[in-house]
Amino acid sequence: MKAAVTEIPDNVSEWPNWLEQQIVGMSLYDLVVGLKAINLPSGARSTLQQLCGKQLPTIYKSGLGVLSTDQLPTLFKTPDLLLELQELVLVEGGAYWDSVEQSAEDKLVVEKHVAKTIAAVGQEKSSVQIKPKSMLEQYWPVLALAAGLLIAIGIGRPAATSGGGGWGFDQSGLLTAQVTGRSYLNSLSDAAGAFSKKVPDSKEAALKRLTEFSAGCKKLIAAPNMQLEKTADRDWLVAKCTDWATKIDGHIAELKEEKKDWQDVLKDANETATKMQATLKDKALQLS
Amino acid sequence: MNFVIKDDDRELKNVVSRAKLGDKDAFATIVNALDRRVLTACNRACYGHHEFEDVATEVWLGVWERIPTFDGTTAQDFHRLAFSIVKFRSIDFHRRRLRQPGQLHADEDGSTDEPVSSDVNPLNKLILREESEAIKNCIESQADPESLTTWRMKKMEGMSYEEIMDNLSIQIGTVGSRINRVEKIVAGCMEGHGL
Repeated sequence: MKAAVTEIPDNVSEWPNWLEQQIVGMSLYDLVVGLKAINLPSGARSTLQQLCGKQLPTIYKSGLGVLSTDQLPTLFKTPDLLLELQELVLVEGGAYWDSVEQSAEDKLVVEKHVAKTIAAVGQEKSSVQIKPKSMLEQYWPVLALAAGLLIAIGIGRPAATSGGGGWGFDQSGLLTAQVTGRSYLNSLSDAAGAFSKKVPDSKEAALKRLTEFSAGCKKLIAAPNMQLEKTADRDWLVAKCTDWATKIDGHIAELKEEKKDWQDVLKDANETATKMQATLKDKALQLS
Repeated sequence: MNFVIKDDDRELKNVVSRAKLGDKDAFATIVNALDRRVLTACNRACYGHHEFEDVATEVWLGVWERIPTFDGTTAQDFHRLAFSIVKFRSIDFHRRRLRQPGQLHADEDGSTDEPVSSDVNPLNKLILREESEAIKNCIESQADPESLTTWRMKKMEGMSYEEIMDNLSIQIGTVGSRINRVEKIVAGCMEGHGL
């Protein structure tokens, strides 16, 4: 448990900013436990409404600067109010609260979690369900005709080879291969290089290719990467891949928003892929 | 992606409407913008337990499931959707923990002298009370009452060193050493304590 209570600034003027960081940070519970442990038991206690009910809309919009130096100590002496305020701020707080400075530790947790969550959602089926019955009702004459034709010309059987597990980091078996760390990184380097081997011939094709590349990156982030023995190396890989995924998503956004010509975006994306390839190769060489 | 939920909510409406149609990139944009809040809420709901990140992932999967029927129009509506799922998922998390032997011990009558905040249900109160009492015992077994009073005056009342010196009739060096002593003890007690 983090001793956040020992980090309360000496200077009272720093309390509002410091408390804001605690409220949107991940140590508030530890702070409340510490405050409760060190507090003297007292009788009558304020409620949040009594303390700052009228100021809440301003707090949601622009933070705790509105509270006076008489009000702030009450939050320390009645730490349950901090938890209550946190819940309100997380739901009702405006954009101001998203801009409150984050500790480096929290920032890393969020970055890793975003990548993990995006990868997890990527593996989910679409939440929009298509009703098969209505599709059939609508298209059954066409489907029946098509099926008859397929049977007639003998191509209704499944293809002899399946499409496999994609390309790039999504390549089948790549992330689960039981190989040494060096070999794993070399395979990942080759997989990153695969991006440039196929040249999309349209903006739509480029978008599809980049979206697949990004999805592969997110799978790599979520993978255990146990081929790398040291935790530090695994962390390095996840951190790097998080950066690359952000870059690739940036290229995707540029394509969608048409800020640049699609071929220029593709050129930038190729450069990203080349850098990824080189970085992974270099790291592989460093491994014994 | 530097997406920020702005107070006018137009950008949110745009990405939410795309996500409702199954656009995973749009949903990823929402995750990017709001995951900090969701993680903070899960961390608090799980009392900092290391599994809070998994709970947060479950929350997002729940949001993904529910987004086609989401009809809110503001960022706050979206926060409410996410936090209603945080509550359910954190209850599941605590139930799983309670099934593990030796985790928590309720008083027979479930009573407590702690104040009730809006969301603090009896289970939450119990966990918070157990945690803080364990730390309190640890601190009080090592710190003298005078040092604790000095620390409270400085860090909870916001008094200046001069005010504390006048109040307690002690030298400035004593104020500093008492505060340092308490902080070392508190750090030792809290860092040695974990869920």
